[in-house]
Amino acid sequence: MKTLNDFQEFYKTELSATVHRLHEEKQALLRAESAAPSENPKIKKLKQRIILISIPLILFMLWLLPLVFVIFFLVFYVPICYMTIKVGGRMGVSVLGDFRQKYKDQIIRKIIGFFEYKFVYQPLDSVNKDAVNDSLIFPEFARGLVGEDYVQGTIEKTTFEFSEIFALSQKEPSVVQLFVSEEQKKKNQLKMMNEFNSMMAKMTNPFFRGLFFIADFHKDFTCTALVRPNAFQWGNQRFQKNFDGPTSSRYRAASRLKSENKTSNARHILEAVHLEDPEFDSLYSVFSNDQVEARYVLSTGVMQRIKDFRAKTGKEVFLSFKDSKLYLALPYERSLLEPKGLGKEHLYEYLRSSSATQAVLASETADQDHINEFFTDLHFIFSIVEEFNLNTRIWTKKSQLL
Amino acid sequence: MFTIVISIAVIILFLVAYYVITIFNTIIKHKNAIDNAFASVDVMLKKRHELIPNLVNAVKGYLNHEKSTLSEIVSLRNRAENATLPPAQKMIIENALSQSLEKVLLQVEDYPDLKASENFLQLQQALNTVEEYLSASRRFYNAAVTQYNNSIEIFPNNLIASRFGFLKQDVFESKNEERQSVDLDKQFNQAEN
Repeated sequence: MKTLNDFQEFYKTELSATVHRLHEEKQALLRAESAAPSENPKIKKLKQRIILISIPLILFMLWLLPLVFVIFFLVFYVPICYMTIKVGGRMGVSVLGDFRQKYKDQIIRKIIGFFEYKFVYQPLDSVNKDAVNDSLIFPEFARGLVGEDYVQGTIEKTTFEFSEIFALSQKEPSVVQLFVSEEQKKKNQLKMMNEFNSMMAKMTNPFFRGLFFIADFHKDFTCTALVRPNAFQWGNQRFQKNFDGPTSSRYRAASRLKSENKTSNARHILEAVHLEDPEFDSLYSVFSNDQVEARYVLSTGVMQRIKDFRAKTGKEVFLSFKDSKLYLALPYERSLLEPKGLGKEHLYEYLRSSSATQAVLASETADQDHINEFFTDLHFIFSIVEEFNLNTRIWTKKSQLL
Repeated sequence: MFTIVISIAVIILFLVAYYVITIFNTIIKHKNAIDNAFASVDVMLKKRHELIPNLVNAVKGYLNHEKSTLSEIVSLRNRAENATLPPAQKMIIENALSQSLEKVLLQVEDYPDLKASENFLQLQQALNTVEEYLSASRRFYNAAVTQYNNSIEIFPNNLIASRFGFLKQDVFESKNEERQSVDLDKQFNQAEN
């Protein structure tokens, strides 16, 4: 795999000119935004539309319903309108949003390309919600899921896909869609919705936020085996509570829900698997519907790799082995491929920060550091395939005689 | 007074009986889990037996000076197939079979034509998968035995277990066979490189 030194060489020859040009562009944008934080035309439009809809609606209700119902309605309606203007407006600061997209297209795409794997990069897409739920990796079902920075590709013999995800226990909100014009829908809907969803997802407290990685496992198997860290700490108390009892009613409900689409319910009753490695057993809880096959998948080598991976990353990793695939969820508190100073949120922070901080953030060296951070993130994600030895499948995958 | 004493005695007796039954049932459950685990080992051993004739046919044309080993493999396989054999003896035969198989597969390294044959490659792949499943089944068996042994050795279960004649069971030792599949993997990979 490519090293940081290789990358620095690549940076000098291929990237530095683009980085310099984008840096200049960013500086100009920041200067303009600092000088005149004007009201965005999109916020204006939104406000107009809300007023246009609201006045006839309220008048109509006043005519039709008793005052108490109208007041009750307004108690909900006003905060929704306020949130829409606030969030939709922030989202509408599309000059910075556009710059962010351009940056991702021109820099991140090139960095992924530098690894020389066959890949597809879609900055606004994410892994499929059904794939996340099918994996049963979390004790909770994701009713809503938003994400970005989706990469799909092949490393030697292993096909993989990953993205950053926000898994939500409720459906992803989409109230702003009401106020998006047809023209905007055609032109920019995906981007707008994605940005809005990301922002809402952060606000609605996802039960999991981080990297979700799916890859072909180097062995064929039919069982489902889940590996959950015993000491997973997360801000969301509810999640923590559910996690403490992986065979809790919620978890069983999840299994049942899955089995509705299958012929045999018994296949989805997952039982605790006590593995012989005491260290692994103390770190992780394993559940499976097949005691033997779970051990076939979680061979001593794989257990060791999971322990090594944990030691190396210092993170609690969630794993699911299902339908001959490896699903891996790695919690992150920061955004991936969204380094400090270049993400949209950080641009707002930038505008509010002191001039000394601004000087540091705006320097070109800071940009270079962020690009190294991109490389480190991607290097780490691609190394998962190597860490789990997924390419070694000469004698194990697809036995025809069994 | 007498009635109270009798009532207390009956309650205590009832509680003790309930406790004994619970422990007894738990031990039985663990014991049955061992049988279940052993059955899964047996399934994998059978799968291996099914592969042996194919393997012997694939290599016999090449390994002329290993004919005795090949006939030994066939004979061990036939002996292991005998349903009346006690499990302990069966495992001794299976261990010997594993060693003979290992010997043959090592010899194959000297025959590039054989190594390149699609049929043989598939057999090796299948055999390796079976070996890995076998290892997984053994680990499952060992986990079941450990759970059972714990359940009969802890206090006060040990009192009840000894009373009902539950005996400690042996786990599969991690000897040649466990290491064999790993060694083969390594060697095959080297050969591939």
